[in-house]
Parts: sequence; structure tokens; C-alpha cells
Amino acid sequence: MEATLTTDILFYLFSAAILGCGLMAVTVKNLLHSAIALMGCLFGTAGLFLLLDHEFVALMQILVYIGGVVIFIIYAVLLTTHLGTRYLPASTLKYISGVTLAAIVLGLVLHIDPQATHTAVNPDRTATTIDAIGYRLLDGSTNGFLIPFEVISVLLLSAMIGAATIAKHQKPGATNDEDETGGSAS
Amino acid sequence: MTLPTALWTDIALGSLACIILLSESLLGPRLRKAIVFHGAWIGLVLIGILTVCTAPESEQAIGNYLIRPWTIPFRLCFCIAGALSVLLSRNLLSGTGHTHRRGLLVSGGVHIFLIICSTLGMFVVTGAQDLITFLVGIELATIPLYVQAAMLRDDFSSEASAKYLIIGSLSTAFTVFGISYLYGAGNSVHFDTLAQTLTADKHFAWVGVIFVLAGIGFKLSAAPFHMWAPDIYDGAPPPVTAYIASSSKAAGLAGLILLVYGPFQQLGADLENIFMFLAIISMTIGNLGALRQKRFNRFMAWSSVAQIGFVLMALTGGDLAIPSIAFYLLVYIIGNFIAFFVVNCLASNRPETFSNMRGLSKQSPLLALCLLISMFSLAGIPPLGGFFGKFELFLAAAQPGHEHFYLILFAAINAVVSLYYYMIVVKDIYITEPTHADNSTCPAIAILPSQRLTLVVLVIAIIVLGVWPAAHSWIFTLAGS
Repeated sequence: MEATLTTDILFYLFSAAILGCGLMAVTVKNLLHSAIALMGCLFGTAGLFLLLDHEFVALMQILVYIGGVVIFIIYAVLLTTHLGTRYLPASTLKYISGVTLAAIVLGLVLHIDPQATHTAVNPDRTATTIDAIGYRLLDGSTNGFLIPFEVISVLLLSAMIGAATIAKHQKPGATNDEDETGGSAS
Repeated sequence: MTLPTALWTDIALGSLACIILLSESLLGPRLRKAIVFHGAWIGLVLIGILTVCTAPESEQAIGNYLIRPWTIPFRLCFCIAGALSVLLSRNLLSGTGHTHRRGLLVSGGVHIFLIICSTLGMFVVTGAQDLITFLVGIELATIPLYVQAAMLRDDFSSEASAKYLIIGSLSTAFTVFGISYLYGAGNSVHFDTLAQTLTADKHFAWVGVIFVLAGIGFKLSAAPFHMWAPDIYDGAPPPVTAYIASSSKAAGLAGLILLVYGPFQQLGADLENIFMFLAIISMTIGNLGALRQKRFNRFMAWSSVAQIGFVLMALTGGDLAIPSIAFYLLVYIIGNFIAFFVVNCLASNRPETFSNMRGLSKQSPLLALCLLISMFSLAGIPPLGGFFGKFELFLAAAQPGHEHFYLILFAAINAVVSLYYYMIVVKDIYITEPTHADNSTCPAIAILPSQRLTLVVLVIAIIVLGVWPAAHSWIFTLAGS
């Protein structure tokens, strides 16, 4: 996207949202509220990706992080007794160690030679469209990712079958294999 | 696009997984039990033979997937460990008329299917030519293990699975984070490009390298990433423990070698220091931990941490590193499985503590002898395979240009320390008289015929690997040296 006044304003808006929500997420006492603040922070990041013309990454940010991870956290908070209403105590020591850790990470990021980071970005790399990603996944040449794409299907299959097996309700007293043939999965 | 012959093994593994899963869900109970169990271990053995038969002379590629000659002995190790793990599950499957102290596996068919899937994942790791395939392979090798660890219906099993899941996810997060930095520093995920663009003066590259190594360190249970091992070894079902201890380690090492001689090749000298550090603390912490264990599986976990230290020592060496690690792994897998077969027989009716193993030589001379040979091999006593395995590792670290003599001296001291605790096990099974309390409650030990046969074959294999030079040079030829 061309850098115009609008994109500049949007950039500062999104950045402010990320910083504000991020601060809220770690300072708010109620765990449920901090999960929702985290959601805002992730929305801001998605907005930044959109400004960079990376719509696929923005989409994944919303689908995976907001739709998946944060919702999962909220479920966990709500299903766990009283975590949504009871405040978690945060001691001074925890504050100090958290701030120290953040300072160390900030220091590391600033320490990394900014010249070196320039090599990380390919200047003539154009925006990646969703089509291009799809074609690349199904490309059998050395440039594509056909094999990992196929292997992921085996991975998902084994994970799903495994999860279904250990989650299956078992009648007490029933021997293992006979129970399966009954098809009483619940 | 023609398929390279070496790729048939990967396809065969995928097909075997499908066959097992379909037989498990479609066939009648009697036929199913025969096909799922015998089909799986025979299939894995055949795929192991196929791996050796189709071993390529040079690298064979299909698209982005590369079958390298040196990975063949590693693939053989995966197949052997998979087949042995299936055989080890025999007394935990229903329909054998056998009962186990901890009950039977929730679903034997799914358990066996997951072993094969995990083996396929390890094959994918060795074939990876870019970071994406590498990551997917590692995940396919690990995720089935989380499920398998929960396959028994007791609290220990669930606890082991939950711990393994959390630690495993953490290590994956480390790996992915590292990969993102490698991509940033090297501008590609492809190993060939990364091998040229990842140079030692890039800070970014080092962040990536450290995180990826930490992620793989968790899989290897190398210190300081080892703290999960004892709990999970103790809680998971015995065949899964044996599989995690052998195959999962072998896959992690194959992946590590792949990275060290691939994308990280320009970082050589500095990487050697990292491996030296990891080797030294793994050996020390592993040995100190193993000294004070009372339960056999926890003891094996600590001993495996120490053993990984010796392997990492070889990685500081030159060209001999790959074949010597391959040979060592084969011997280590066999030695480990002998121990787990014996302890699995014992554990079917008593907790696997050292005090329960006292007087084993009188109750079952065969099991006692097998465990003795396994312990001698793990400790590295000639003429067993374990001695030559360790010898090769020491030799690799002393290669011209990589002469780490202080490291070798340190490792030799640690090898002596490890001798002490392996001998404690031998003392318990042969010399210490069982107290009345130890022995009175324990019924006779039952060994299934298939497991007895496997034990005998494994013991012969470990002696042959130690005394017959041709077996030794065969592995070295396979690994391309």
C-alpha cells in the first residue's frame, strides 16, 4: 500500500491500540478482561499486516489467534471455577521480574544491529496473495511445499483419531476391545 | 515426474498405517487381532529391509524431498524401534489372555497405528530439504506420542501425557520461533540457500540457531532440557516409554545432524562450542541423576540423558560423526529395548522398582541374563555392541582438526561413573538377596512366547554387533563412510 497520510494515521492508530491493549492485558486484574484486551492487541497486529498488504497473514492472525487461541483461553477461564470473577494476586516481586524481563527483551531488540535487519527484508518482494500461497503449497517442484502439505494430512488424521480414542467414554468393567465394537462412543 | 526408488519406503509406511487403521475399524475381532499386531511388526521389519535394499548411491530428490544416503541407517533404526515397540505392546493388548498390573491399552489398534504414523514422521524429518518439511516431520513424529502416553487408564498415564503435551508444545514453540528468525536472517526456508546465507556474523541467525537447538534439545532430553524425561518415562505405558527413549531420540539426532551439516554448516566452530557445553552438562547431570534413582524407568530416563551427552560429544567431531552416531544409536536402541522388554515382563505384576528386581536371577535366569547384557552394553563393556558404539563416539571427537581431548577425558570419567550405577542394577538382580517383604507378594513372572523370542534375537544382535566386524563396517558403509 502506498504510504499516504491516511496509512500513516492508521499505522499510529493500530500501534496505539496494540500498545494500549497489550498494557491492559498484563495489568488488568480480571483474567477475563485481560483475555479480551489481548484480543484487541491481536486485532491491531492484524491491521498492521493489512497495511503491509499481507492480507493472508492478517487473515490467519484473526482466524488462528483471535478465533482459536483467545477463544480457547476464554473457555478455559470460564470453565475453571471462579477464575473469571476472582482476582489473581500479583505480588510486587512478580511486577519487578516482569518489568525486568520486558526491559531485557527491549534491550536485546535495540541491541540487534539495525543494518543487519535490513538484509532480512527483500525490498522487491511484492505482496503475497492467497492464490500464490495455494499454488505454492501444491507445487511439486523444488520451490513448492507439496510433501509437507500431504504429510500434514497424516498428522491431522493421527491427531484426530488419537484424540477421539482417549476421549472416548469407557464403561467401567468393560474390556477394552469389546467396548469398541459396540460403537458406544460418546 | 518419476518416483525415486528410495521413496518407496515412505509410501509403504503410509500405506501400512492406512492398512492397520482400516483393519482395526473394518475387520472382525479375531482376524483384526492377528492382522493389526502381526501385520504391523512384520510390515515394519519388511520396510526396514526395503530401506536397506533401496538405499541410494547418491541423493535422490522428488521436488523438495531429498533422500540422502547417510540417513539410511537412521531410517533402519526407526523401523527397528517401531517393530520392537509393537512387539513390546503384546502383553498390553487384549486377547492374549494376559493381564497387566496397569490394565490394557485403551485401543491396541490405534496405538499401533500411531506408532507407524510417528515412524513416518521421522522418515519425513530425514528427507526434509526445507524448514517447513522439517517442522511438519518433527510434529508428526511427536504428536502421536502425546496420545500414546495416555493410552492406559490410570492417573500416571494421564499425568505423563499432559506433561509431555505441555513440554512438547513448548519445545515446538521454541523451534518455530527459531525458524522464523532463521527465515529472517537467511531469506529462505530452503536448506541449500540457508547454508550460504546463514553466516556466523549475523545476530539474527544466532537467535534462530539457539532457539531451534533448544527445541531439538527438548526432544533429545539433553540437559538442561531434560526435566520432563523421568516423569514421562515412569508414567507412560512401557512400549511408549521404550519408543520415546529410542526412536524419538534417533529422530531428534537425525534432525540435528541434518541441520548441522546443512543450513548451519558455516557456523561450524561456534556450534562445536555449544555442543561441547551441552555434552558436558548432559553427561554430568544425567549421571548424577541416575545415581540416586529407586525406580527403573526413572533410572533409564536419567541414563538416557547421560547417553545423549556422549552422542553430542561426537557431534563436535568431523566426518566420522555421522556413521559413529548411527552405529551407536542402533546399539543403544537394541540395548534399551532389551531392558524395557525385561522390565515390562516384571512390571506386569509388580511395580518396577529396584527392590522388586532382587532375586530375579533365581526367579527367571533368562530375564536376568538379558538385563545383565543390556546393562553391560549400555555401560560400554566389551565385547558387547555398546563398547564399540562408545568407542566410535570417542574416536569421532578426537578426529584431526577437532581434537577435543579435554572433552574426551571428561567423557571417560563420566563413563566410569555410569559404570557404577549400571552395576548397581546388576548387583540387585544377581547378588542382593531379596528381603522377605520384597518377595512374598510377587507371583511368578510370565513371558509371552513372542517376547521371549524377541529377547533372544535382540541379545544375539547386540553380541554380533560387538564381535563381528562385518556388521560394524556394514553400518558404516550404509552411512556413507
